Amino acid sequence: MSKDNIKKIILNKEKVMSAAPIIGLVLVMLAFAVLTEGKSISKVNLKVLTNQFIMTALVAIGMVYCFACGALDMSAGGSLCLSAICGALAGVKTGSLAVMIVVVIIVAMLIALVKGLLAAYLTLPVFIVTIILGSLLSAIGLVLLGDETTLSVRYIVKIKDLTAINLIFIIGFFLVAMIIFNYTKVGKACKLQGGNPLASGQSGIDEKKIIIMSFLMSGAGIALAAIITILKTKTVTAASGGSIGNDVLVAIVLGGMPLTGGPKSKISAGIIGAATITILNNGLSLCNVSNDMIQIVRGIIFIFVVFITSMTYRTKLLPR
Amino acid sequence: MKKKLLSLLLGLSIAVTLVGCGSSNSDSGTSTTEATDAATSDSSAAITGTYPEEKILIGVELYDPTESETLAMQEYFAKLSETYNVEFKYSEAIADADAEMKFVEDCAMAGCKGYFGYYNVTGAQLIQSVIDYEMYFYGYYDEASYEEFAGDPYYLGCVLAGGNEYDKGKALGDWVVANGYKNVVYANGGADFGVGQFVDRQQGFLDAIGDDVTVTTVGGFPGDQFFADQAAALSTEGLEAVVASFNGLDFWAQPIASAGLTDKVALATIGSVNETYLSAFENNSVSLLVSNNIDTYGFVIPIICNAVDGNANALKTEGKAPLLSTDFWIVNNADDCKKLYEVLSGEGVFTAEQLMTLSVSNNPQASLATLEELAKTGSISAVLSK
Repeated sequence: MSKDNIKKIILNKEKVMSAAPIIGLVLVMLAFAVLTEGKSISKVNLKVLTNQFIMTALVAIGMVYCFACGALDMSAGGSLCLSAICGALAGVKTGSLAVMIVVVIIVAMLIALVKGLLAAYLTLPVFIVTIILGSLLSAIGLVLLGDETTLSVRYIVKIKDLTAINLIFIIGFFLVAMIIFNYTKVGKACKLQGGNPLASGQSGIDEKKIIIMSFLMSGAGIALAAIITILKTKTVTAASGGSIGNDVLVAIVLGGMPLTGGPKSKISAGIIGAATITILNNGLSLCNVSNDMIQIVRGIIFIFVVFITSMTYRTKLLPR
Repeated sequence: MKKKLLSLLLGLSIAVTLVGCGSSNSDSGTSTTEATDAATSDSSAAITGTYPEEKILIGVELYDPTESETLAMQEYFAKLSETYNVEFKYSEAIADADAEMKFVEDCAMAGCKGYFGYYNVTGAQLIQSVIDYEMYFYGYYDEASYEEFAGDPYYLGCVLAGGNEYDKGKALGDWVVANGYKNVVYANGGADFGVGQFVDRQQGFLDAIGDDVTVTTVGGFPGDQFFADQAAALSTEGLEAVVASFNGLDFWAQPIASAGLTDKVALATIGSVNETYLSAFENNSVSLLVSNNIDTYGFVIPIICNAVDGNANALKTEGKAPLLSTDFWIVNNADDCKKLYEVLSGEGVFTAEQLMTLSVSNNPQASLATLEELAKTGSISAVLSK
């Protein structure tokens, strides 16, 4: 076999394998459509799926930037919780939906800026700093809530059907994130930095600036997710968004994102992974599988994917 | 090769999914009535009722699926399912608004016709969400929510298990006064965080004891701070009693014993009659139990079945959903506790046959008066005389 043929085969194989997350998503969708006798693809369920998918997807898309830089942000839940609480408090105080949304965005972006600065200027591993920061943010939220266990904004939020808003948010944010990630210096610098920070530094990339910008992109996703949380549940508690961090981690990995970041990072990992995990959760639930079992299935998948992807990408990394 | 493994993994994920789904059809997982049946009766298949003709799925929101009252309720529901053709979809521990909303959506997708708000995070919003998905809502009560939804065709009201919380707290306070205790510890649960039921219980307790009793308050729920405060409280000079607004037996009996105070410090609490409390009364580790009549939750079945049959209005007055309560039980001796436990673990305070009198298809005369009469039979005197 000639060298050209071998090269072609390898390239085709790579193409097929890069499509594996999409193939997985389609297979999961088909499997549940059959198992639930079409219930999973009914019109109402598709609406529910959109509702359940949107938050994970928004946070995951933004988080791809941090992951691409090699910064594992574990504080998404805390950030979402605190920005939602601040927004809701402002909304309740002023009675204005617009003020509530603006405050959510400002707080989420400020938190993202702080995280970015910490990640850029502290020499500690980002995931450790953000684990602690996540707990701290939730605790601040609890203090802000004071005696209230739940904060209801149902008299401010009158929107019932979120489908249109969901679609605008997800399509808009995905397009913006994709363009920046794939077609600007920022996105390319992110990937290069995750692939090899030493080489990226020597190439003249401002490491600190890129890290801060990555966290700001992630903050934008969190802000949108926090807005959706408030619009959807019309209630905020100190536990709001508590599970989003884990969901996003699983989603990104399922979407085909290497946890080490780098050049193989794809913005589509956020959206495909979020869709896969949501369909998996929803399908299992439709099959009356208990939540414990769902957690076990998710755990097994996560561990295997991390194991395989770490083997795949680690060997191709340059020395750091 | 490694990428082959990746594709193998995706296959595995689907295989696990298939196994999960496959097993669900035969075992239904831990979240359905069948699972409870299987736990209680391994040898025979579950007997399923024939009314209603088509099985009705009811979602039940829980705050802790492992809690003793919740487990007892599930057992009771499993027993009633032998007469009623109903199945339950239980939530896992619902901790926040997102999880609650997701469970509502899951219930709607699973085809639930009714939703029992045994627990509620988002208050009126939960009721609204359930109604938006065209499921009948029964359960959770607060005054404002009731006023808002009482006339909604999908809102079915509730029969509260054990009356109002203020009176339960007052019953604890009355016990302190009746026994002449002057120095007590009061565990107030979520009162400091503004949790309604604990605020009401604390108020009832404080109103009952007046100013003559010295109270050391332990706030919050079990955790580092709670245990530190508990240890400090138990070292109070001249302590005579511990009054716990929740799960006293689980969280206070052992520390009292460890401090060597079992004979000196009495324990009163709010909980629900079960085997553990029976043992506790028998060995004097608890002196008073203010108990919910948990079989009251059984009313959810006939009321939702009626609604699905198109007879929701039978138990309503001028279109307003019923709002009643059964009495709570004050248990202060082992004999009463034993009798109550025997009834609860036997045929139930309200038997399936009694509940059938509320079903219009079985009893066309069923009305609010029928419901009120039946609720009265849940009083402690009525149950003890069985």
